[in-house]
Amino acid sequence: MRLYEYEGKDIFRGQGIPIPKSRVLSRNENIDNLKDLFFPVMVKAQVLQGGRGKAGLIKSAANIEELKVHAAEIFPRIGETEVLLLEEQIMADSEAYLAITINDVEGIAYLVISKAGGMDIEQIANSESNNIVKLPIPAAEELSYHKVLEGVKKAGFTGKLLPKVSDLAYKLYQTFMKFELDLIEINPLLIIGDNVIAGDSKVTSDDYIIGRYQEFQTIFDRRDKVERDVNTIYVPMDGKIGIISYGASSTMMTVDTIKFLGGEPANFSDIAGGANSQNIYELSKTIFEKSMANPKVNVVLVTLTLVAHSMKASVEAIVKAAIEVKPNMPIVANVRAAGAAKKEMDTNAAAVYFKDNGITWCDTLEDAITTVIKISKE
Amino acid sequence: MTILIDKNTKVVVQGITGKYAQGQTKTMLDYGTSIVAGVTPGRGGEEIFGVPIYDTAFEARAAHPEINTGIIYVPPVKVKDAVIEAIDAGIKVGMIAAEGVPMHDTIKLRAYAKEKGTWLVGPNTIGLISPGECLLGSLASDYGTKGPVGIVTRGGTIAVELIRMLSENNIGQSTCIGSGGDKVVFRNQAEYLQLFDDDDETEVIILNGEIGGGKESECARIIPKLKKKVFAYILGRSAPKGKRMGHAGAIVGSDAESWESKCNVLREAGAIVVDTPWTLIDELKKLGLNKK
Repeated sequence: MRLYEYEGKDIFRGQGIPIPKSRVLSRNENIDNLKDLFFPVMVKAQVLQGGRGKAGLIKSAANIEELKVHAAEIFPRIGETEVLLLEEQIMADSEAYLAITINDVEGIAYLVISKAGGMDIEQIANSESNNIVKLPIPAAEELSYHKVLEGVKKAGFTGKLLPKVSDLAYKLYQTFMKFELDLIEINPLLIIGDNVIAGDSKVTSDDYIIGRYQEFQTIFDRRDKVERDVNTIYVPMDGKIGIISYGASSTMMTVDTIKFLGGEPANFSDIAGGANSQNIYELSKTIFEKSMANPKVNVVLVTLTLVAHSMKASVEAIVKAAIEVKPNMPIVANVRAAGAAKKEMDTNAAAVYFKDNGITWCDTLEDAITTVIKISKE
Repeated sequence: MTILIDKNTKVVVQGITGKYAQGQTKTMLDYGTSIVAGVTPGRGGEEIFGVPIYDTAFEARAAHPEINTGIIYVPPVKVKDAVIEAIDAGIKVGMIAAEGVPMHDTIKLRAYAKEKGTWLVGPNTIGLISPGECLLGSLASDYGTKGPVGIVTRGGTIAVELIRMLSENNIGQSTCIGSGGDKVVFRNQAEYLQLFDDDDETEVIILNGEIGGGKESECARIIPKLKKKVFAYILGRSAPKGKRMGHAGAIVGSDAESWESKCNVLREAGAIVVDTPWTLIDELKKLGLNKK
């Protein structure tokens, strides 16, 4: 789960990581009634995309009139959050970079320190004039403070900033470990004289353990329903062929192949953590409904790769959803089952069951794919 | 030879009394996998499908010293403890199917296993199969046929599909492994490529990868050093930017993690990059692998 800046800064505040003075402005709040505003103030849209400044999603307001103008201009452009973050405007001497990320190739985390921040980290990494220090965080031991201090010094920090940045980096490490995070990043880290403040916040938590930490559970509960549904996964794509499938990798195989052969998939789907009749039915229902609601979609492909979950239960769940939703478009199916999945219903029986319920059966996945592409182009 | 598992593999199943574990155990026994013991604390002395159950992995291995492999079927948050137990009891190969193992746990286990010389497969893996010899997990027992092609995937259902399609075209497999769908796994695909390269029974290697992360780029670094041909099939061609495609690891973070980048570096490294499993089959047929 990726946190918005204001959520990450809440976490920072709770962990003693310095952040600018701020308050959150809600979408429908009457600005004239607010007593605790301060100026000049940065008005910051809360979105996950980068490059907010360039997109005009961060503005400076010198007084209440300007604040009203900026809020009225920015809010309509934001669908994903209901707040703007208002922060004291800070004139920094320089901008640095601090982050802890997990390297998936090595399977360990790294503390990354750079005196030159503010730009895209890929540019920082590629720029040879910058000294980027990457400190490995050992998997089984605690990272000692002195290693952080030595790293921060190697990055070029001197004088009073050396212990200040080191303390902050160490707090970042403690926060990262405490909440078992995937990523924590401060870019830019604002340097004002001898002081350091987090100019921005990026925090990504481990989706598998959201319930473990109340702070993250609260944030998660605020997310809209589609994002909160961690079991049935639906990713919209811009196309004409609806896809009911689960097993992320075989679904990607199908969606990729459709694209490669000139078709346009309308969505990706998956079920995480174990399929059962209920979530297969719900996934199918969602996809049939969305396919119907989308004027571009004119055919739905049903494809399953089953090894453990019963083909009978899966097929019945999908057909149940089709009967309820009655999507007004052709449905084409090919499903494949092996081992225990075939016990109660084999492929021939599945074919008959689909056909009896008005669903077109193809004998191979390849046929099903070429069929839906053909229909989608009619 | 096959890699990691063969007819000499002797297995202990941790968490054997769980509902899912029982079903999987039955399937594996029917396949011919030698499951020698099970472990569930508090159920020692019982048996299931003729397999004796013990309270601890130590006891299981003490009673059956031939045990060299462990399958861990416990809930995700219990995996760390169970795996440490298995490693300390001396098992050399472990398979962890659970989806949902906390990333920080995986990081700790990965380091511990490597330190102790244990090869862990997973987490979030469908399993592994050396057709005709041994099956661990839920890779479809019906589909595998013995032959010269080694396969390593990230995801589970793609492994099933590849084995199915290869077998339908008379192209047999030495071993097929799902390395796991998570961002951090116990062993990356590159390590399996090396095992396949050193295996007498494997002639050609199929590498499956996905968008997200650097594991395929790591493969590109070792492929030039391998003796055997590598075919690369990378998923995620159609993935919208910034969207997670099911797997915890399948999200494009930077340009280097995109589908195009990965295909390019693998191609430059000498791998034959294929667009679909069907074109892969065509390529394998050109090598005459369907006649063996």
